[in-house]
Amino acid sequence: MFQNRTSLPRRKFLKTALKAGAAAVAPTVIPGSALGKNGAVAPSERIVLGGIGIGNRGTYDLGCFLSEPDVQFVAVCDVKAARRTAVKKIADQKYGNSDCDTYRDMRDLLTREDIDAVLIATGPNWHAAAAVLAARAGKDMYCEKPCTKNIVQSLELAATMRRTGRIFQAGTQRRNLPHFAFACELARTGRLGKLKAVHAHPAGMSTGSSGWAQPQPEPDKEVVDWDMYLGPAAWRPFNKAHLDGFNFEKGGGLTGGGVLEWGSHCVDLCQWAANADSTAPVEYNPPQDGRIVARYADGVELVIREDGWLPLGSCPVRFEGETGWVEAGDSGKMVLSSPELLAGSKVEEIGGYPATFHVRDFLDSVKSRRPPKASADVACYGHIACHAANIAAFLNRKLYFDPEKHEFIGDPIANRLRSEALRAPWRI
Amino acid sequence: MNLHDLRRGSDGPVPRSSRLLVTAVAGVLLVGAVAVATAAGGAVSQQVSAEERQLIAVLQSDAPKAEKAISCKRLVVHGTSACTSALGPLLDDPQLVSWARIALEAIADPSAAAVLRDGAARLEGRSLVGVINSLGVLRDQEAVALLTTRLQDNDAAVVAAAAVALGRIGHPDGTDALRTTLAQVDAAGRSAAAAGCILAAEQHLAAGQSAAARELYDQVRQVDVPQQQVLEATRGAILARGADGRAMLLELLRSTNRQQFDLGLNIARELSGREVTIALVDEMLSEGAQRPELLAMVIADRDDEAALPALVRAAATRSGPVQLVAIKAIAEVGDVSCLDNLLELATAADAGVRQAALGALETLPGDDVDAELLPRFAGADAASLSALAEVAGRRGLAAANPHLVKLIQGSNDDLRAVATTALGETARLEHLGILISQATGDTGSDRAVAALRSASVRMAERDVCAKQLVSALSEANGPVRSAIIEILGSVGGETALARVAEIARSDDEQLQDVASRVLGEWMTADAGPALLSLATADVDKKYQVRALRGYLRIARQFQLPKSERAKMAQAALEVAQRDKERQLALEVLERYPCRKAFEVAIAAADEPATREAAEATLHKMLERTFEDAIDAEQTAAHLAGGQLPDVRIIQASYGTDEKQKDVTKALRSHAGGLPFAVLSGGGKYNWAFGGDPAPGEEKQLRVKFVIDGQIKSAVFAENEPVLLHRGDNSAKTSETSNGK
Repeated sequence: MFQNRTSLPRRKFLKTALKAGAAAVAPTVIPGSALGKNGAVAPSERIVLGGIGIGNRGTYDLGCFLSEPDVQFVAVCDVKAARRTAVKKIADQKYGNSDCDTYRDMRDLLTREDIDAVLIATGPNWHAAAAVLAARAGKDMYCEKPCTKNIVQSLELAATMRRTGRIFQAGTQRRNLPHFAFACELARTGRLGKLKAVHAHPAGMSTGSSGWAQPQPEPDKEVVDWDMYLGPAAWRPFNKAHLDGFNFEKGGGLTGGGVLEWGSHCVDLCQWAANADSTAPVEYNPPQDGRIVARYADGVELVIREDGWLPLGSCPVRFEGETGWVEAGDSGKMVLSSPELLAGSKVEEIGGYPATFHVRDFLDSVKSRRPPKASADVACYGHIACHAANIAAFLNRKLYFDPEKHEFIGDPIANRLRSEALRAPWRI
Repeated sequence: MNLHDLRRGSDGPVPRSSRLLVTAVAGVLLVGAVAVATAAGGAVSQQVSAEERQLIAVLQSDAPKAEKAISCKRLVVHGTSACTSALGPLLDDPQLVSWARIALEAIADPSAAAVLRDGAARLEGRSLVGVINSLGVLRDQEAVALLTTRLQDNDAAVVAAAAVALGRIGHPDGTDALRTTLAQVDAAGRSAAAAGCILAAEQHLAAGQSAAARELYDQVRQVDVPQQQVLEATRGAILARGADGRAMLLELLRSTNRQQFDLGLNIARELSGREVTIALVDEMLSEGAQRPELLAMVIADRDDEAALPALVRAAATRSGPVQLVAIKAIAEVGDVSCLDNLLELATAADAGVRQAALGALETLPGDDVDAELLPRFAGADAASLSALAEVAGRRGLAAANPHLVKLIQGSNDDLRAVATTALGETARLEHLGILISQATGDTGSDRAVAALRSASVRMAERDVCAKQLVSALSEANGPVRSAIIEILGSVGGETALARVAEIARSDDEQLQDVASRVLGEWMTADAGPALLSLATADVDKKYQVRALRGYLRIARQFQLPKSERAKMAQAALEVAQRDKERQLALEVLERYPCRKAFEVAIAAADEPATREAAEATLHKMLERTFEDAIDAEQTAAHLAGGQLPDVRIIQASYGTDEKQKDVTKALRSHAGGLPFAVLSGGGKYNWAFGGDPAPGEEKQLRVKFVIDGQIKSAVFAENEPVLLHRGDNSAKTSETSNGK
């Protein structure tokens, strides 16, 4: 009766001979004048933005947003007073006023009717829960990765975005960089021959728990709101070692690690290359010799490996077909098995993995309602693949996964690790 | 003091004093009994394992809360119905309730649900909200009555939780209760009930019960609830009606309320059906259409050929954004039948229209499009030829090469320029000469050089291409010669490398500058010797730094054996004149520790120019290897200027007395001739040795090795740093004899 947004038709990607490259990061088809780009921005075309949990990465993202003329940043929420103050200073300096409002509780920011969209850059512990809260409040959102802590959160996040009709862009900005997009297109369109394997760099494969640290004196709520910081994570006493939001409870604190942290970029690109944005590998092997090998239903291997990469910068991926291969990394460069694969294509070399294109893609989506490159549906399965690989690593055994039912086959313990209870009052 | 004097105790379940009480180690310990619990496959064994008994004992003891919390987490893997009653009392502890729920939700059997229901009957506040959330997650049918009662609770958070849980459970009694609550005066209660109704309706819709879903959605739409919930219900109501919902959809698309209009765009992408497509096309083309360009995007995304005639019509007859979007939409849903329309638009006076049409022609799918383009060159006017040439280039249409060559050889400058660029994208080896002539001739231009570059980097016959480029060097003027050297760098291969290296050592200052830069950025490791040679031979040292940095870049970044990298670092240290390059060389050693790297660093620590930096490097290499398991600073000081012992691993096994695996090869690989092993996977044996030979049991690594001619044996507890030593001061060493 109705079609899944994951399978939104993009026929040109499937049918045409490859012409990607720069086109992959071209803005949407709406003319700039209609969108209010390049100059005067009508109030009706302005996107009023709020920020939630703006630390190091968030400040970078915010810079990308602030450089877009149709964005007006009006409020920041953070559990840490120092960060609230720092972000307010950035915004106020940008606009030459003192209008940026500050909040300690994101629910207060989300009740503001004037805010259209939010940038969520908390630690991974909060990403999914905050995104769901924002969606229920009618806000679109750009959410840093990893977006979810487990498989069920990934599914719930996507379902919530569909139900609420919100635009969600995962912070996997490599989807909007031309050389990565081009490499994926080579794989997707059969230019490498029948696809055999896609390779992703995990930046570590360990799994661990954030645990329960020695109690330390809890700061005043206005300085650090510990209860809000913990949010959906199980309670534990204050300890400043936990305040590193980047690592706290990543992957639910049970099955996190590099496969999720870096994989939410590299595995995500592999998913794209393998035409697997609405599915996930069906078989996962435990790590051996620094690599986890998973397999899609069509036999394509997903190889998550630490080493053996060409010197193309961080976050490398490699796609191998029967007749060719391509490898790309954060330097903006790529290496092809045959130069002829470039025929007819001009691929802009953009190194340093900037998020500017990804942010623009999100803003255009907010206006057009066309799903952005890293929509919740896309992010859902990329994250599921990472979580499943982590569970195989954690349990140290081979697992079979049913991507339709979203459960492991014949392994109830693995299935228990698909989700984790959230601390009240939070739920998704 | 030597290496083995500095070893510390291995990791254990109790963390080091400076770390968290409970760390990642817990995760490793979990794994063992998992295999036991699932040995039979299928459902989780209800047999109580020793691990579970221990964890239950912790829960029922006076153990610190930290231990109880982590025990809950471990019960996710080890727990059965046997532990749920022990988890129940934890629900009453505000600090442990969330941990207990983690285990209960995971175990998810009837006893876990019963414990949660008991909790829901006696708890209040956040703890009550938590257990209600868990009952919703478990979709516990037996909780419906209890949750229905909680819809009348005085605590709004409890009401909201109960409503969502009932919505998730989807039991008819619960849904009835939600519908009743929807009529309440209290706004918070209505909103809570609406959330539950929407979840319940979603389940009906997924199950194909459209009528039931529609009824629920419609009821929510009729009550006073927040706009977001009205939007959600409206979406559901339209989807539940299928194609019959298109009137409601059009109503949204005509709304002046931005949220409603946006929702309409969303639904227009979700709702399938030819009738829907046609209705959307009609709406887009209607006089009063709001944002028709956005509707055109929706229509393109629907990928329904029913939209094609209208899109072609809009592209031909409309103007402004609608026309542009319609043209681009044709590229998505169109076919060869649109070719003439697009070619005509590609010669339009309006540049925006022209570019949109060229873009559409570039991506229009199908080999038949390529075939149909070729005959159109014959007899075309200049404007059409320009468009055809550009499209041929963008599509990489090699079959158009004769036409492109003809245009290049013609007298129309504009067409020659367009065709040159196009040939850059389509040329085969036999056309390279034409592009070289264009680039090096009197009328050579940046455009021609760019075309030559595009073509050259695509040539599969790399050396043949390079030879032609090398020959062209003598014919080219200064700037073009520099450009050709850069192209040679992009092409790569032996011929190109040899020529660029030669130029880098030539006496032409300008070309030497370009060539040395290109050489320094070479993309294969075989440029190493040329760079080292340049760094060594560069008499006036002008390009020594550049060459040396290029050489070290290869050592740092390219795929090479570690020992090879160390040798390159050694060579660089011998040539380097500045501390900056010496430091870069030492960083290679730090990044890729191996026996040779340690030897080079040790030797460098004996040289006055590098003593301090090399000792720091040794320190970092050891720190990286052992984290804080040894005193890296003291060990580095000890090693500096000394010698590494000769070590050879004879045999290594990992496991228990009964269950062992041979890990000789793996350990040799990890040790690489060093007297210690750098293990992958954070030093965890199970990772480094490809699996756990005896899950849940205490394991050891047993190693027999030769060190400085002496045969030794050593035993290491699981995950202990592996240090192989002469054995004078270690209790680990159990045997010593003479050996070879």
